[in-house]
Amino acid sequence: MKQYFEKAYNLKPTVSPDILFYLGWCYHLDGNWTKAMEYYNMFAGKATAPELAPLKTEAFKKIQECKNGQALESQKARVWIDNIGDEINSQYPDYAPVISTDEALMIFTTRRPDTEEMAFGGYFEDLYVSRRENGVWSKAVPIGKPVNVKGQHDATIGLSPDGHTLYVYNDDRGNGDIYESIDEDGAWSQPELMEKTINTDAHEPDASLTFDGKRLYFTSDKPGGTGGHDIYYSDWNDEKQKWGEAINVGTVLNTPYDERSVFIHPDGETMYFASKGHNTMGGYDLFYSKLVDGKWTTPVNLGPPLNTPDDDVQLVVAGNGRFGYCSSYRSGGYGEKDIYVITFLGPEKLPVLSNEDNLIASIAKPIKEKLEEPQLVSEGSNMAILTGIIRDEKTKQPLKAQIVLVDNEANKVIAEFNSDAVTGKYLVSLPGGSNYGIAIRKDGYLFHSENFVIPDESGFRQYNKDADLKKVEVGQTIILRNIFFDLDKYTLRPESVNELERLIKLLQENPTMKIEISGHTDTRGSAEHNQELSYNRAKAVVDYLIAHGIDAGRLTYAGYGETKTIVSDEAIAKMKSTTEKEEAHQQNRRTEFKILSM
Amino acid sequence: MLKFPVILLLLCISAGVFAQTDTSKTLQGGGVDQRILDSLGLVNPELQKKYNEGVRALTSNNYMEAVQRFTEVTLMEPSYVTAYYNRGMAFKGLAKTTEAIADFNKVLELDPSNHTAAYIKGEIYNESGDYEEAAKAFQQASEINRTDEKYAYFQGVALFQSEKYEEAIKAFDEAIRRKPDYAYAYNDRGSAKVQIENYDAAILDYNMAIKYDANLHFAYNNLGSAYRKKEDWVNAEKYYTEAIKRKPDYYIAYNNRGSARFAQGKYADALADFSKAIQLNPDYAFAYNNQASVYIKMEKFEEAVKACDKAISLNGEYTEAYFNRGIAKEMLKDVTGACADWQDAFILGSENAEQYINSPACAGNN
Repeated sequence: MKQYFEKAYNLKPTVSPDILFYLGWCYHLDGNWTKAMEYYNMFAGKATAPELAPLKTEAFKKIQECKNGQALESQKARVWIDNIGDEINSQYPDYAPVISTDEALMIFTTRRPDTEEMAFGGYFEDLYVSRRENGVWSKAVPIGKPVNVKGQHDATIGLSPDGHTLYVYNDDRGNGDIYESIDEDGAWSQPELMEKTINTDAHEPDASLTFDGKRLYFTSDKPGGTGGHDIYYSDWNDEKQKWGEAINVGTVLNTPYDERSVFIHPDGETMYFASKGHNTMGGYDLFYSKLVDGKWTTPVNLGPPLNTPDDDVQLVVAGNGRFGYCSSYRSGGYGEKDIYVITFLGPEKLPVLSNEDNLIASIAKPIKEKLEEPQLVSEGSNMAILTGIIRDEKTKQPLKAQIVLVDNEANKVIAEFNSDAVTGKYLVSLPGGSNYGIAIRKDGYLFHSENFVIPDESGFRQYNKDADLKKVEVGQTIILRNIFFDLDKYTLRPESVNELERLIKLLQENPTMKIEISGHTDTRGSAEHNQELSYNRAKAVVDYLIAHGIDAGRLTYAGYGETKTIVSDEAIAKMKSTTEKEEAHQQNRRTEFKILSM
Repeated sequence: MLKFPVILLLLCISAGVFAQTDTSKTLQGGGVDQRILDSLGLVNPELQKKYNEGVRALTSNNYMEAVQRFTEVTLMEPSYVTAYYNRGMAFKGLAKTTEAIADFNKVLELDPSNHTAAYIKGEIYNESGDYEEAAKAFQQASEINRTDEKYAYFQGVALFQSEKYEEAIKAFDEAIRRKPDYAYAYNDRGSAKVQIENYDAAILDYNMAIKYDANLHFAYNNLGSAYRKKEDWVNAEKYYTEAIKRKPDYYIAYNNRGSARFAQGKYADALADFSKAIQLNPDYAFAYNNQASVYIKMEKFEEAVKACDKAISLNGEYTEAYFNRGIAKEMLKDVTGACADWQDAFILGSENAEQYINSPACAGNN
């Protein structure tokens, strides 16, 4: 295009009053910042006619974008951008990928011939699904009815981190709204128009749900914002069972220009979005901002090569923070827009040099310099993902169970999820900075508990914990992972309350049940000390139960010290990292209960 | 009574030479002129004979024979200081550390003024890697002989090797007090100060070493390294260059200068230095590893992997080379290989490598 403008301009510089602007834009899109600014400035200098005033304002903005582009050249993002491959991409437009946070599921929008052809050419948008196993994406297939509707555009805009709540964009009302579809036991429900607190007469084209399902971020160009599309959020009201009033996230993120493609990462603290404001280098650029002490930080431009002078939108990032997915036109693709996988390499890994000196004059052998390893910034996100399958212990049949996520320190239920009835699979996101108790419950079964302490700045971990639920029967044993004691003491910590209350509830529901509480330690420390400690800890639990109304006659206790470890010392010795070893010791330190009679 | 003190003066073959450039000299036994013994009135011919046989055996490095003869002498005359001394030397020759030390302790018990015996004890401890005991022995020598600067100096060296840098500095202070132009002591005191991160004071000491001996190539190198610790890369480079001028085959200084240049972003110059270090010492693993570091910065990742391969082939437990090879492999999209290398680096002690193997990049790769 540029050559035509140039030719026209060279033939007749006055051919059109705005030709200098468009010439500047051509250079701008090529990333030729200097030349682009030259033309924009020439245009601005000559654009004295009142009707050119809006374009002149636009030229000044674009000059600033060029300056941003120049500055961002030196801040290139350390990423790989790779075409995700032909299992997902086609010769037709493939775009707007959304993923479950463990990257097991991708849903995206495509315009392929197996949907209805539009009257003026091309095909309607439909949603396709691909699943990933062992790192390989399956051949994408249509998501099917009722999400895909014949003769209608249906487009992806968001997917909850656990992959069970899908947000779809539809403009059948003429203004573009957000619809919600739920994966109910393997089948997607009829997409439902979201409430009026979210959808308005204006344009609502993006949505992203937080890890706990309690807040929905979305965009809207409704009146009253800071200009163009703005980012809003709405909180789920448990009592009213509806979404609350939309609240603008404020001017740290929103600008007089458009903000779009909001994506809230399941780490609970990182938002990705596209904006034509801030320090964009042209069109929409992708940005991120962190939630620190309840406030969003100044957005950071993700930089080239992710951002280009053209529009860059719709980035979703996996829970691990290592991989992201977006769509764009790039050379070497399969045709039209393709979906790309972004590998975030994190901060530059600096090589380590070795030096030595003849420090001692009378000793010929040099002495190697001692190296202090620099503190590294952790890569990826600060969160964990817990996945697994919930089954009946004996039949191994998948179970639909309730997963209750508790913040042990705050003694507060954060979220409740269900496992899939067909597969028994579940996925829970655990942002860094909390001690999480997880209780898996189903009527007729003993609850199963897990505990995860995810420190701040801990980096990313993925845990796979299959839970085989045990029927409430004599002889059954479960581990109470959320009972805590002070270090080397037998004082129950306050974080234990939730687990103890679950146990009390179980005993109340089964009034004839008699149980044994047993204490176990790891193998560090003396055996005698461990024996005594485990005994006292078991007794502390029983004392608590008695104090809370459980008949002492139903309760016995024992301390087994280090005699019944789950992970042996030999197995621990073979483990590679100190983190693994510590987790193994943690497995061994536990409180159990056993049903003695019913 | 035998006239041992007089005989001692003649038979105790004097201590080693404490030359600055050679610390390996040890006491040696020597032959005895029978006429001298006769003139001194040594009345026990049998003892005299065995002693002389012992000395001959010692001087001909026949240590077993020497031990036998001197043992016979000490059985005949249990307070014969020189016999213990020379048997101690024979045991030292046989690398029988415990026995040698026992003999020199006996010498010191019989003759508390024998600073040479204390010094030899220090040497024996030093050779066996027991630097703390060496330092004590050198200190003993230094306290017996309060003028010999070398005893204080070697006490400082042993303390340095024990990583007792503050105490080493005091010992070097004493050596310098005894010999104010003692270039070696200045150099080593500077090195002790580097270890406690007092770089400015170290720089002053290295400059003093150079002042008193302008040809001390290693003092220039150490001065460069002190500046490098201060991240004063320009002065670091300057003094490494001075070191190289004084010793053109000084591959250590080339390697160090390469690092100073690397830190300044002078990658081509750094690469030239590392290559020169390799040319001078083809088995110098550090220079290959450092070459790899430059290649990583130059984004020549395949070259970096090759250089690390070479470093690792020279030293299979080279933590930094595994760590760096991991970086290069990751950039070549060989994430599995990268994670395996970081795993090895972690096993060899790199904490940062542990962080990498626990990162999402290595999830499923280890």
